Amino acid sequence: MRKFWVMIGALLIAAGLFVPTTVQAADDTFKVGMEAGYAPYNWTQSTDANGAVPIQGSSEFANGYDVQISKKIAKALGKKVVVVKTDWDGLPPALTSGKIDAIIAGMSPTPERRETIDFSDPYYTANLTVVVKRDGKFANATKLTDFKGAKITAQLNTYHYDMIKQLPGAIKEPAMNSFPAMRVALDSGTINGYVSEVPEGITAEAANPNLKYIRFSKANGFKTSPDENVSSVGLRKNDPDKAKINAALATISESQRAKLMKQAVAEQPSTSSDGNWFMTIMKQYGPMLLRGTGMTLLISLIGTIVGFIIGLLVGIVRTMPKPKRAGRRGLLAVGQWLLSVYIEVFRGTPMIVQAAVFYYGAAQAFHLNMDRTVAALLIVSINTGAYISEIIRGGITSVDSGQFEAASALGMTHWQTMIKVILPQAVRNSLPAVTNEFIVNIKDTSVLSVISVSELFFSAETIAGQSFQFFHTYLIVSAIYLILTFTISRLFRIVEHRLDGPKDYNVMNNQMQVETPKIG
Amino acid sequence: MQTESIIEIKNLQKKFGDHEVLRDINLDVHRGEVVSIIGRSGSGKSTLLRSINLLETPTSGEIDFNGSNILARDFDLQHYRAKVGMVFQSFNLFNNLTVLDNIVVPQQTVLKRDTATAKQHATEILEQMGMAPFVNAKPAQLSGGQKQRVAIARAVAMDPDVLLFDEPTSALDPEMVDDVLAAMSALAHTGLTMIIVTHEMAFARDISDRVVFMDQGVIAEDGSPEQIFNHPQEARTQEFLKRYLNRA
Repeated sequence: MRKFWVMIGALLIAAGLFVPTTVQAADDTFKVGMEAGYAPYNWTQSTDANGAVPIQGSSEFANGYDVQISKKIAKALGKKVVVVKTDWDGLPPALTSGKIDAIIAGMSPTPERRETIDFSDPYYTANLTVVVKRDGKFANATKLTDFKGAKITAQLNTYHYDMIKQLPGAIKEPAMNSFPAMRVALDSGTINGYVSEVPEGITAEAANPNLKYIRFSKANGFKTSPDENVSSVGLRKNDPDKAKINAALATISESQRAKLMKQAVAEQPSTSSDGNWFMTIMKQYGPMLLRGTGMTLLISLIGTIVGFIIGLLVGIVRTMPKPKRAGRRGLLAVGQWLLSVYIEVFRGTPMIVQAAVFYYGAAQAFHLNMDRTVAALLIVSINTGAYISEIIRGGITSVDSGQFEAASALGMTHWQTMIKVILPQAVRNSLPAVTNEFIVNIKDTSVLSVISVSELFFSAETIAGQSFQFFHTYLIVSAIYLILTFTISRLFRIVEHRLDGPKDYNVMNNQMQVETPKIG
Repeated sequence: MQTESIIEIKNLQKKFGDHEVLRDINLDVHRGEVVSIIGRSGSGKSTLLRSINLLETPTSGEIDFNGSNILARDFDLQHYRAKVGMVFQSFNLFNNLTVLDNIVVPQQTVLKRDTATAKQHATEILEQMGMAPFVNAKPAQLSGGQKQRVAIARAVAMDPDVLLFDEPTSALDPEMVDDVLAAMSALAHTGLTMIIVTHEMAFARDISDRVVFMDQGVIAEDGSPEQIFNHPQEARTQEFLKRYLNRA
């Protein structure tokens, strides 16, 4: 296995030569991980209004209660806040691998989480609620027993989800990934309600007039332990700054916290949906969509080109004839075996898993802090290389054996034959399949949202989360994907036609091109 | 004209698994000689020809070229193959290259000729083959007869000492055959050593200095065209020729 990793490493270095590895070692930044999509705790906005903080690697800003708390903590530490927008599930690995310094994302310090990370004192205490439809069956519920037969869900990997068992007779639906998704599910009627915290409930009401959160009285509400209904700052174990952070939190009084939350609720992005929906989305989020499209194109284009180069080299090595000398023969056999391991591993595992292992795993195991765009380019390149090497190998073996024989009979070496005769034909034969890989890459880069690469799908998720216009946003995004893939398939068709040339040869037209040999 | 041997085959044997395709072949080819190999399909004539430039590796025996054993470990195979050209039944032109480049590229890569020299040489030979108007065509745009003339030009452009032809007209439509045979006759008259595996009996009789009849992996009879076609000694030669000449 060691050799395998050495080889992978060598491939990575080879593939990484063209991208400068960015090292971020600035010690004066306080990197805070959050979803930037859980208003009023945290959200994404396009300006720095109301004291918003820039999101790393994008031109968007984050704001909300968590951001304001982050700023206060950073001030106490003498640092500057940088928000690292990360999926909920990606937060703990991002923290332990050192991608971020703290999680400030409305996260509760549950015992399970305490096993892997440490927590500060609470910075907010919130009561639980159930968000329902304003005109639905459960709109008038006042106590937990009122939810018999209701289809209830909550966010994945939260204690909210465990709270559903306190609703007697409620049907526990599968947990969902994000609050915007649950709001849409509720609005469309696939669920009857979801468990949430009161601030989020206020936000949901404000964002969508069809929704309502249940105002439980103290006696009738959820029973929670002090661990659960509070939000704390997630820290790496033995973080030396923990005492300073707790001291900073202690200076924020209960009434100040209430004030901050009220302010956050008031400032969160509104979702006016008057006028043409298309124009509204484009006007507000056009640049974000454009940047997402650009990122998707960049990753899939470079990934396909580098993957093609990897695939070409691997395909050549895998079709090399056995050398006469035993030493070289052994070397080739080992190399070919390693390459087939590479192909099987990268074809046999999902790219989303590769990305997570590569980006978070490398940071955890080797403290290798990589720029996420670089990581994305590497993953897509290596993954594509595994597929294209098989395409090229097929292209090489499908070239008529007479071509090899003729070249050998003329005295050409294996390499001369490959470069002058076989590869041009193999590449031409592989073009349709390579086009396919390019198109697949355009679509599959969407899985890179797991490492928070702001490609098109990630932008779409953000926009949908902010605007609550799921259908419209994804309609626009699918149109963009379709335009990209259609254009690419047409372009490659034209290239193929140009390479093939006309079927017939016109002697009259071509006679003029005959070069007259110069005598002398 | 009896000159020194250019190719000398001694006790050659070739097996594919347990199947013995060539048995104890002994054959001398002299410089400038035109030798035709005739015989039934499966008699081993193509395998013999392909063994001469090592497209097939003989199981045992020896092949000498100008006195040195080509099966020796340190033998310069690339250089030898440039000296021994081959024309295939299925042409095997390089599909990705134009007619001109098919002839120029091997000269550049193997003989290290500069582009201008290689192009001039190629153009002259294409002219002789009547293929000059097609220099910029791709193989897919040519007929079978045209392709085979380009393939011959490609082999000739390497200035070989020996040219091997493996049933060069078998894949052609009848009306294309004559052009190719004419080109080969012209080459035979330049004094080039040629070994031709063919089913064109009339052509073999007219062009050859010597005819070899093969049967079941051995050389059954070896003699002048006059001797083989008019006074065959062996019964199996007589039987083979009777069927072929009656059909022709």
